[in-house]
Amino acid sequence: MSQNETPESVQNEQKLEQFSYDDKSVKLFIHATLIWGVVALLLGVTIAFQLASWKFNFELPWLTFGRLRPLHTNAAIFAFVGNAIFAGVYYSIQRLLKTRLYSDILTKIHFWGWQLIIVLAAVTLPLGITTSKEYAELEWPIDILVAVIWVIFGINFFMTLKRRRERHIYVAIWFYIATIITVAVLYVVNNLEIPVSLMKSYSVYAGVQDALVQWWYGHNAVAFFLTTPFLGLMYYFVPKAVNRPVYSYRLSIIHFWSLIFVYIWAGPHHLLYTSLPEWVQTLGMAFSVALWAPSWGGMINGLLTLRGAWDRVRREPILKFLATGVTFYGMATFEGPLLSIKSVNGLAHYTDWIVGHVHSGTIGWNYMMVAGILYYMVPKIWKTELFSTKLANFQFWTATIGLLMYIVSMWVAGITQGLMWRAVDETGKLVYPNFVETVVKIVPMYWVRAFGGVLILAGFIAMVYNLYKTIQSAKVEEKEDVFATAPLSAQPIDSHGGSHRKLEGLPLVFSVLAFLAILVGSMIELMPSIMSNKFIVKDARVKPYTPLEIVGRDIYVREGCYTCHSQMVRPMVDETLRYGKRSEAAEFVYDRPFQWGSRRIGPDLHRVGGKYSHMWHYRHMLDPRKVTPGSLMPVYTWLFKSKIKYGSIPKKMQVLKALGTPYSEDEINNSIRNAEEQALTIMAELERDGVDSKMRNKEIIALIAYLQRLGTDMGGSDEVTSAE
Amino acid sequence: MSNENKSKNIIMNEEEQSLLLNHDYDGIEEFDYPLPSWWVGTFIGGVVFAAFYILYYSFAGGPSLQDEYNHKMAEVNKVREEQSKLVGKFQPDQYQAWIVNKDADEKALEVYEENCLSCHEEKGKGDIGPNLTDKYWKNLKKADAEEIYQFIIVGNEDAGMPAWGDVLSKEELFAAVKYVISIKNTNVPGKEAEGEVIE
Repeated sequence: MSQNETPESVQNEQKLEQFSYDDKSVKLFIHATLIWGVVALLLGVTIAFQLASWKFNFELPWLTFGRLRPLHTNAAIFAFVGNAIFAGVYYSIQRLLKTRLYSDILTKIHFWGWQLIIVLAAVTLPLGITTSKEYAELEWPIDILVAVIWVIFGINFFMTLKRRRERHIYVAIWFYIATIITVAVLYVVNNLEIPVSLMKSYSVYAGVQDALVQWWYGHNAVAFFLTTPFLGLMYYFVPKAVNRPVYSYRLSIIHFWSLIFVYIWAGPHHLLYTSLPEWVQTLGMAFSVALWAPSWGGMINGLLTLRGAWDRVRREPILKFLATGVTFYGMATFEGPLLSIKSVNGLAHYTDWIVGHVHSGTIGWNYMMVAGILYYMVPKIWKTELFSTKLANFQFWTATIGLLMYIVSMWVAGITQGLMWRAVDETGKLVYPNFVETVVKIVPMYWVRAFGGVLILAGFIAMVYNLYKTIQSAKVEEKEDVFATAPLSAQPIDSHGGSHRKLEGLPLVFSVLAFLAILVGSMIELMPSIMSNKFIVKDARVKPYTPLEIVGRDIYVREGCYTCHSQMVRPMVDETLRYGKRSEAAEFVYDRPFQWGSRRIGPDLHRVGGKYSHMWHYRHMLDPRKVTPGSLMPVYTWLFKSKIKYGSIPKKMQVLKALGTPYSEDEINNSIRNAEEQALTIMAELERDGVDSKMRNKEIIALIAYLQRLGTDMGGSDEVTSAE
Repeated sequence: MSNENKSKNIIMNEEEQSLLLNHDYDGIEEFDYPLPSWWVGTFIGGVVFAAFYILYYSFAGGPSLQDEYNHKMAEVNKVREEQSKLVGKFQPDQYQAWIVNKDADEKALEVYEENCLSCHEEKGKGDIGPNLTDKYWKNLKKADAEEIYQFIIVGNEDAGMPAWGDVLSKEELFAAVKYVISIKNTNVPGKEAEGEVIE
């Protein structure tokens, strides 16, 4: 520990305060990072194989892609990366602020509460208990728990900050502050929902509003959970590991403020060419492009801090991982603005290019940084030597090669499929009218990606083994080291520095300013949609869902259909030819939650209503390959066994009514009978095609009711014309 | 652990020494290198681009995505209308000439398998769609090539039969017609008869 050696502290030697660090909690978070890391990557590999071959869905509801994919993303982001952030933040703030964490009890509640959330997620998501909002799928009781634990983390952090013995706060702390404040705002606003039962709720936002709030959240979850905390960690662990000063203090200031201010605006780039009002799309794209330089500011400061130590980067695993992590950060933050350009996005959106882009961030940046940080922290905190440098190098190469296989295969798959979708020949017809042709074409790339994933997982397991061997070699030591330094009161604010230097001595003011910085963009983009009814022009043709369709829609949500199917026909020639009329904002006003999706592993479904017969859907859900040879879709046999829960309908309608869907009391009172009648109508047609009448109360009937309704209110799917 | 960080950070030269700030956090020091000029250029470029982009598309009447779409759609619709005039009219002599070419049988089967099989099943025995091998027809008044051709083009969307004229080329339509005629009255056991007897 470098003790305070400023003249003041020498003068006040007699007043030195003693303190120790809570490294036990850091150790707990490290263990959790390792365990959940294996789980998250194993889930990733599993779903990668499920896309290579549908057989890996094993015909079990809780193992299908639609339910495991949300578990993979949640486990990777919140369990693996989350625990790593907490370990790194708790380790570094104690040392940067020269104080012990504020409360051992709060730290314990934070740790065990977070692990409880993860376990609850791991149980509920495979059971199909989900809100279907990406990276926010957890249902309302768990949402509340997440918010509470995050606030506890926040209290623990800010009180530690208050009790610091270092006057000025270092750039790493700035990023931690932005993280804690923004994640709290994002999570609470996006998860506002009204419960129907203990494990079911409806979003307070509908359709376009829901989409906008969700992707403001989704994009900024990437920004403030996967990026800003890691920039903070980078600013601590890179200079520590290389033993060199940070490259540029003024670059830190400029890129910090510009990054958090600009990032929050960029969310709508997930919704380009959708029914979102165009001015919001334009803002989203413009700010995404402007985000390039602020992002690269972090990369420059990271890489140039390593300047003059490149020979060591070649030799030392810690530096290897950190340097590679920062490099991939630079790559991903260049690709991001590129993908936000409308025309590029038009090609790439809904394809695997986006999936590859996300993983160059999560694997290239987060995984690599976590590995570097763990290789730094574990030997230090357990006071021992790393078990094997060879194994660490093995991990580095498997992870790097696996990741390159991942990224390149997804580029090829994404661009190939995107070009096939839009190919129109000189007679004005789609060159690949059968969607499945474009899927079959890229399946080889899915195998490459899956094996890349296996390599990444293998490397991680090598690290887990390596670190546990390292920990085993440590001596058991119960006593904490005691340090001493001058109290905060003995350290005046640096009066020679500029105004930002003064601000660094005032963490509360700093935090308020950071909050304002993220508030501006959020308010300007979200408020018009939430406050104004004029934002979405209503259309009288659009009617609320029938009781049976509500049940079917909830099944659609439960099965995670949105993980493979979009419901958004974009204003593009090929989409009109393939799917029908472009989707309009007015069509989604009763959609709680929205189901626009983010990836088309299967075709868009917004205009699927009426396109096929009931029997087609019946056959298709039972065995997709029966009607679409080559399809990757899992079988959904359980929908033909479980019964429709008619009893839940009135409560659902009451909640929807409270949220603004115009159901009358009569409609709610008669909802069960109405649903049964609609089921019988569908059943009558199926019976003509030879289906047994005892299927009439099975979930498949409700799902068919929903699918046949989709996009029909304003559809006119028979005409190929431009909108208006 | 207490002493290792006492060692000063590695400073390479005098220039660096002069840029070192009086900051020390757990042994981490900071230089104050000036911002790289190319980075500043990128930063300003990004902001200026964003400003002009927003001005042009949101305030100065730049074309909206909807405008661009309408424009492209109009072009394609023109092409499609011309095509549908060409394709929509059944020309018996062209059809007769096409079905005698040596690849016709192969092409007929290929088009059927790629497009029709999923509903009408192998050999046309029917499943989701009607049995095509009996003498009953649901949607046709006459079972000749022209009638079949015209029906395949428009389909019957209420019954789940797509309008294949949007998807298939003239030759592919010929192929489908040829296949349907070739299985007519083969009476493959399958889906029960629907519609009326059409000879």
